[in-house]
Amino acid sequence: MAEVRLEHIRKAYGDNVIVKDFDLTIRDKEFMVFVGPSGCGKSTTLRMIAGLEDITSGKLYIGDKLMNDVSPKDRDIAMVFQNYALYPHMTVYENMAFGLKMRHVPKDVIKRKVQEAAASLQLTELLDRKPKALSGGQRQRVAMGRAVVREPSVFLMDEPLSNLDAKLRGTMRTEISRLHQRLQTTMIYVTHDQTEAMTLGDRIVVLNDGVIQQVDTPMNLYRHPCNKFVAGFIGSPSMNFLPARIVGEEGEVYLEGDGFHANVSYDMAQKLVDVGAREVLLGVRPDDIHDAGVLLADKKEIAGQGNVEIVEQLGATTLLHMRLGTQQIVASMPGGQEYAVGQQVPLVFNIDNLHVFSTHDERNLML
Amino acid sequence: MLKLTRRRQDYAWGYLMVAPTVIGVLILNIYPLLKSCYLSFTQSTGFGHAHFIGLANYVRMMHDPDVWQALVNTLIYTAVSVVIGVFLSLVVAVLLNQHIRGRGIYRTIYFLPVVSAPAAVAMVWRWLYNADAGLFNSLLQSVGLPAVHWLTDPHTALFAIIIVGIWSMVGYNMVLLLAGLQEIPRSYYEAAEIDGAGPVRQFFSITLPMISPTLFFVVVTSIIGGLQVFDFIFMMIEPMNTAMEYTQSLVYLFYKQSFMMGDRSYGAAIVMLLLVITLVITAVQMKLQKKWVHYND
Repeated sequence: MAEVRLEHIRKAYGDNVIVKDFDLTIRDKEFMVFVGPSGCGKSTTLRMIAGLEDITSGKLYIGDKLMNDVSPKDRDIAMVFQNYALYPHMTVYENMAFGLKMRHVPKDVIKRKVQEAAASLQLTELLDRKPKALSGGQRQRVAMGRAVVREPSVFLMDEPLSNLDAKLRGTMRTEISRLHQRLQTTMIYVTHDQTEAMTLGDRIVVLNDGVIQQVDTPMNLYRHPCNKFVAGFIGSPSMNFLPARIVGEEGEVYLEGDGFHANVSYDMAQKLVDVGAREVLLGVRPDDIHDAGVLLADKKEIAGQGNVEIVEQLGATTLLHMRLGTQQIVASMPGGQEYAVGQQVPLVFNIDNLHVFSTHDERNLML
Repeated sequence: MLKLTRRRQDYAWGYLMVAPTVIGVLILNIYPLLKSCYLSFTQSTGFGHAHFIGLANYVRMMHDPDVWQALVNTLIYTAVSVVIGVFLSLVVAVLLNQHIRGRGIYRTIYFLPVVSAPAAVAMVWRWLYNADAGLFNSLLQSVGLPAVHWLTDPHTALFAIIIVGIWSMVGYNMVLLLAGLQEIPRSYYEAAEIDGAGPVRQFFSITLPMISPTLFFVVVTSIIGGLQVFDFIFMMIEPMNTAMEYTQSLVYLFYKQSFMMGDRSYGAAIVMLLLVITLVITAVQMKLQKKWVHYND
């Protein structure tokens, strides 16, 4: 168990800077998720923590020990790889025992630890099998088992679920959560999937282009994204962004844009008055767009008329891809409602959950 | 008009596509093999005629010291050249799989012997081995050591040939092994590094098992190649060379009997002996591979 501290970590290949000034403290026993699009530097950062990549500048501490020049085997970490990296010529038992064997742990201790880990991951029946005789989910569990038996201070996981199908991914997500609860160890988990990040992380680091965008709990990221990138990355389907003007008339403040006219909350109105610029970007999550007909909303509350172009019925919810003015938006409606292509739907925005971003630097103007 | 069903049409096309290869193998491999087998039970009577004599050629072979010596020579050549040659190929492949400067140049240099004409290669090596003006003896004499009659001394001739054989095989095997090495995903080494395995352990626990299918192929083909050694002996050892008895291989003996002495039937019997030895050794290897070759799929 250990705290992991990254102080101004930077990684560059020649002139190509991959990770820029990464400054973060991961608390002891915390489940930290690095999330971001491909090439954002999340895996490189994890690999620097593992010792598989050199750190160009900055300091890395695991516990109190400076780890920059310590070899991977001496960092007291274990890693689960995207492709599992199970040694194909070894049995499940041998794969799990390999790390302990390298550390000259007595054979009977190895046997006990492997059997305990195997039992907890339902691998006991598979111990004599080779990886090629296992399903994707079983291989994934062996990869986790191999890490678990080592009892490391820090678990590193590099997109461990990305090779599994959607259903199995859901199951394995729960298993990883359980594992973290049981082991109470620091875990650092890399993914490009925001659902995994939201469901697993105690805290999430959102990365883009080698720069930390925001570090926060899943719900804070969802409710209070610090900029347009985080707002668009976290949440599924993604937030709608609509160019808007701040209009103040007869003591009332509202946002107006192509095909809509959005009322704002009192708090937001206060903040909008203080914003110097008049042109902004309105952010509305699909869940915060409602059908005025269903809500029996007052005419004054209607933000605009959406023209339904595609209907996606997911069961509990129905996603409407609509045109609002000349802009494309997505709204998430309750599953029971029937909609038809071409239908005009009067829309109401949830004024308590609107986000306003600067068109200049894309930061959230409401924070 | 004959109408073929779809299924039959597919078969017809399939057979048509494999026909050139099958016909080639039948004419160039199977027929000569059967013909040699038949010849080995006959005695040539000249003008292309032969009469059946049963196992007489084989009985003669059993009592022929030249055959036994050639068999010993062939086995020594094969064992030494394969063990050292494959080991060196693996070492070179591992080294050239690292990120070193001028890697492409080194790979080309090691592969050059494979694309060089054996006759030209033999000429160069003959000069290197020359007792009076050769490079090796010049080097030995420059440090005060006596000259060695590399290709005429029965004690050194076979090993001189083995060195040339190894030199010519390393490049080809190195390329095959290099291809095998490059197939090993980097993540295995990274996982092993985190698990605490050092470079030597990584070689034995990851590289060797992962490359074993390629290594198996290299060993099998090298042994078959070794058992068939002919060209370097033919080009570097003169027929009257005093070391000939201790260097000639079974294939060379076959050549001598068939084309220099004109006894094709006896030559065929020698080839059949080599064929049986090759089959037995290969079969044993196929059986043993379960113990050390790891196939991923």
